[in-house]
Amino acid sequence: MRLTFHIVITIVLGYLAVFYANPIMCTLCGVWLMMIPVGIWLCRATRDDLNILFTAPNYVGAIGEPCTLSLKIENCSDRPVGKIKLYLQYFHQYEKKIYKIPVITKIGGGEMTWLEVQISSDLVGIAECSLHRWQVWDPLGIMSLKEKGLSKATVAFLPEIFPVRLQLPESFVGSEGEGEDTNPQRGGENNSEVFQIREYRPGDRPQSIHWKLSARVDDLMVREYSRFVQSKAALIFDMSAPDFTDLNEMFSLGISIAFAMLENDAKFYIAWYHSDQNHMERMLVEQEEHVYEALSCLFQAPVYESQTPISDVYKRFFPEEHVQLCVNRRLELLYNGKVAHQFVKENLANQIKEIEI
Amino acid sequence: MDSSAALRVMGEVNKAVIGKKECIVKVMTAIIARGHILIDDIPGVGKTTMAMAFSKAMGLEQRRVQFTPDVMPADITGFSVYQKETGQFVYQKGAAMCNLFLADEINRTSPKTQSALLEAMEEGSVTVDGITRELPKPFVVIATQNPVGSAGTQMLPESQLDRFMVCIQMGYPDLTDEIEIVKGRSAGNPLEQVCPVITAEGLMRMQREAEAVFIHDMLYEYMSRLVRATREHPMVQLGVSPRGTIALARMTKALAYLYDRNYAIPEDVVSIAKDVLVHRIRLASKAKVNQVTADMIVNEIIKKVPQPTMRRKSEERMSP
Repeated sequence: MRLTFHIVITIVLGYLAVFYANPIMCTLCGVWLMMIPVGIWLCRATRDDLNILFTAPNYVGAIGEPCTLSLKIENCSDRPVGKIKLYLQYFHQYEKKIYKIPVITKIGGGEMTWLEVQISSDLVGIAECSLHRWQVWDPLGIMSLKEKGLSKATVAFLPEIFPVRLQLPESFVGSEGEGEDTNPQRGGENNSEVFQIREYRPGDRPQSIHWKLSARVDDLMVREYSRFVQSKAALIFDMSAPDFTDLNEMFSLGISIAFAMLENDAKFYIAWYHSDQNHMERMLVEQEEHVYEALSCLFQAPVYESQTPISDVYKRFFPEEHVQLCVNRRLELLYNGKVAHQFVKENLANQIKEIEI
Repeated sequence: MDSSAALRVMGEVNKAVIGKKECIVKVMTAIIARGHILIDDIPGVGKTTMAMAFSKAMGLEQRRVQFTPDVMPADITGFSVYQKETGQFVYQKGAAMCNLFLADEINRTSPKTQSALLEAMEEGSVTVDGITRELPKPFVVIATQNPVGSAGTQMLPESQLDRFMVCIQMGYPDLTDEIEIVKGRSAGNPLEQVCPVITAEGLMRMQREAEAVFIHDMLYEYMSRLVRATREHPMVQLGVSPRGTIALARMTKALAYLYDRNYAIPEDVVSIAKDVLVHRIRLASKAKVNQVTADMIVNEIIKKVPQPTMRRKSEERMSP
């Protein structure tokens, strides 16, 4: 607007200066014209003196709740900047839609300012946020320069997690290997691996005594082996979900069940089908952080259309496994391929309070 | 300030460890700062070679323990043995009774044995049968560990991790360095080329001089703000302890000393902050969802927390 006004004034002044051949008008027109290169120069200088940092400090958000994006703007020159326009945008992996958020601010010379922008999503998944570009104006607001932003950050919107009281069959609890005195606190790849040597306690088997070491320290010492987790249970997430709204509930149901299984001391796999790689992926879950790690992988797995039951696909890849729980977009909970429970979207938290399988 | 001795040590280590100048500077800085060093990386990248090269170049009495599940605390601290002739218990020195203790693959042993090092690292002494014995001075622990999750490894307890001043990753060498390494190995053991260039007394003199480096109050405040930011971060379950802040200050002083300055600048803090802070941070479980790492958090905090002085870009352009 200001640039248009400036051009109009320049034309009018130029016309008057030429028409009347008035030296004052000519000088005025010259000064007015010179403001354009001066403005461009000021914009360039200001642009070089601005440091802009864009971050998503929380990294993780809950669906439907605001999540903060943060902008730090630092002006390293003494010149105040009258107007800076920042174009933020975010792209949700499942929505496939770009949201743009323009932010306008100003900053004094040698100052630093923090701006916070709230975003939210009604869908679980990863939102890629970025400072797409920013624009800076000269002090008179006539000329402006645009600059591409390079900063990116991601925010993971987590599903709601509900408390579930789960009654699982015996087959869900991970079976131990054949090593003696396995330590259930220590996972390991091999039950022949010694994880710890400790003092003898009454009840320890004589076979586990480390005689050589016991002679050296003049006390009975026993070997403690690692636990060989041989879980044959899997919780499968059926990602064939064209309707995104169901995806929220499916993740809520699946993740709530996963946490409930952990509370029941079950060691299990979280499994999903990666349609792009045509492969069934899975991750062993032994503690809380493994569930979140699996969730991160689930977010990276593409949603696909398929008519083949996921249980059959899983059996094809892992024929030795025999206990399966599966959650799908119809909010069904399948046990070994058969529907054990059917839930509906509304009031899901109440429906899954108690689940018996 | 005269850090020429430190430069000579680094020069000697460079003969055995090729292409890892940055790592060598960090280890030297930590030694000057009276700190202990944890080198965390995959097998075969030169962790042990570097540790041994340092001990050789500094002419320190070194002992090495290859940690396995059946290494006992007494192997580290020492133990008392009954002597029939005298009818008394006699103390037998443990592996820690040296200047430079090389704990190889420290995370392959039990937490109990790892914890045996705690007193030695913090107090510079070991207590056996109620009697406390001073360790020789200087006392430096250089420990190597394989990444957690490798077969047969277990995580170091937080209290132990906190006692390591820095945790360094070495990484793979680049192509030209790798060629040099292979050439060097075919000519013999590169450690044989390393000669002692200082003594234990020389190292202690450097440590004393580094402690005299001046740090402005604003820089102390900056360090404290960095550490506090780790505690307040939403993705962090356990932030950096005050011991971490002390380590940050000591490393800053040592780095300034290495650069022949008797004062520290914010750039010193920034350049060592990651090595000092990252291993002291325990992330929240949720961090796994977005694949957030402690490294990312420290990077973000360094960018966020304003440095005590702000140099203008125009001045930066003018400076060489």
